[in-house]
Amino acid sequence: MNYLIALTLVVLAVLLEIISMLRGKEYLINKFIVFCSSLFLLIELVTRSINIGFPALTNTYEALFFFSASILIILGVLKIKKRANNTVSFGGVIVVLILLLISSSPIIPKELNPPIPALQSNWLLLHVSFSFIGQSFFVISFITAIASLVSKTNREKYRKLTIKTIIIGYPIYTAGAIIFGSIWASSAWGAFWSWDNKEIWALITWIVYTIIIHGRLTKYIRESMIAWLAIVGFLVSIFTFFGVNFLLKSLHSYS
Amino acid sequence: MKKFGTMSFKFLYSIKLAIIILSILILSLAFSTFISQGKEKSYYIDHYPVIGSFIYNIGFSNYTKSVMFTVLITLFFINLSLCTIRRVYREITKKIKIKIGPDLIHIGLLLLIIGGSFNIAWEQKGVVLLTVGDEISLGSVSLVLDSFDFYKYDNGLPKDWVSGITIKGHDDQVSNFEIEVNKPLRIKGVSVFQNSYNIVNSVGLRSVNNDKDYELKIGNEFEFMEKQYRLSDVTPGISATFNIEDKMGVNVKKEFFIGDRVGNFDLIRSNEKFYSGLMIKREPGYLLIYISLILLLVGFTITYIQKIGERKE
Repeated sequence: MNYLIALTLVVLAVLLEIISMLRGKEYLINKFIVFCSSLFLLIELVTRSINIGFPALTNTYEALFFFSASILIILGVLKIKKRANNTVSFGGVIVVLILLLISSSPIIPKELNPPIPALQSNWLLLHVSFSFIGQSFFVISFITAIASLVSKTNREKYRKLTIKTIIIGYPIYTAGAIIFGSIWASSAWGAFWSWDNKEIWALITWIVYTIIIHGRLTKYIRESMIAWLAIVGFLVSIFTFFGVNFLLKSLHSYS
Repeated sequence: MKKFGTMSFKFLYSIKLAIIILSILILSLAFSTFISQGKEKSYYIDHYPVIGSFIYNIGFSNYTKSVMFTVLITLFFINLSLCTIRRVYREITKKIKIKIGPDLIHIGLLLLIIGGSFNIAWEQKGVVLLTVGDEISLGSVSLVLDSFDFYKYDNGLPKDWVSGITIKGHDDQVSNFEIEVNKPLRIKGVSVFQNSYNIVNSVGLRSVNNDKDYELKIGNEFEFMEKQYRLSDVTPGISATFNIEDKMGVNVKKEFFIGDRVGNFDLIRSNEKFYSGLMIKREPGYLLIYISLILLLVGFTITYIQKIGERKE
């Protein structure tokens, strides 16, 4: 039920953003809808958590909900601070809509199962939550990067927002995916790092954003190249999340 | 010549080199994930007709242990070390503003590579399957499995498996611990992890000829009067099911209860034996890696705070 309400609200958000773009106006209700849809996603996660007696972040379905809620919250905050215009908002809610539709796919198991022993760890909560919060910022940078390449008028504004969201998301992603993930792996599987395919692609994602930050700091990489790298980084992060699960073998078969 | 040397050295600690190394690294790592790792050369030649030999010879067949990967990581380590030393030197001599956050991050990364290298070079590990009462030596101490409990959820999925152990020192000191998944024991430089479990179902058979006892596990068989008796299932404490096949190939499944005659044996017991799978590991780089991860975390936090402070100014 919560999923359906959230999905309906996201669809509504998409329509409202289209209207806003056509009219060239920002409506208060847009922000309200964005926060409401994230609330229902979080309620669904809390409900599942209560049912399984453990934080519901142990499979792809729950991860998609958390990811979507994070993106919506960040988008809502950017809208309140007037950093995200209609184009960015529209892009953000479209990404969330796609993620929620993927979650309804039959290939994503939705069963409410309590966690297996390897997943019963507080480090799991930190690993997954920080990783997806970091990636949520990468979603925004992906959208603003595309906008900076396409736009003729607000190019500089989009470029600044691209790099700012990467700068915020990068340490959060590092903490979640690399640091907390390693500590958890050490306790669960006896090794900080196993060169598992999921781990390799998470490292590749991290390195792409490391290149962006260092390249920009030293100006070795042009602004337009940074935009392309931000797009590549996001696509790599999506492959890390989905591609590895369905195309490659990995110990991370649960998320 | 001197100018060339200076330029080369500058390039060695440059971010440009770091970006080049990292770019090659991510492309090669990405490629390696699409190749099955650790197979024989013939596998790659068969499965990748044109580039099979190339994949094997370059090291993509076991990429993270290959020369190419080692060279890239070594180059990156040299680059990062020189860059960090130069940076810290310039901060100390006040040529640039002190930024502790990035310094800690870079030092953390260096320690991470060193710790990881220690583990690769000198790590020792093994997995043992123990049943209650078994004892193994861990160098200066020995480990005894006192208990093994296996818990399931209501839906039958595994919930937890817990090994109760005693650690005995050579000085007769005895300590009791519990090991679970995600809760390893770390003692005297050795880590013990609850890695797996095994359930072995078996039956006890007593020969009617000589009163000798035998243990038969699932899948094992014996022959009597030109019939093969193969153990297929066990209900612990109650019965055992055998597939009985005669020389004509006729196969019959039959359940026998404890006390019944099975061929020329009496069924005296049917067991379900739990084995605890413990992974025992010595990781020389463990502490260094942990310290490096903490440094990374602290470094990023300080960098964040510094950035916010600069923004406010």
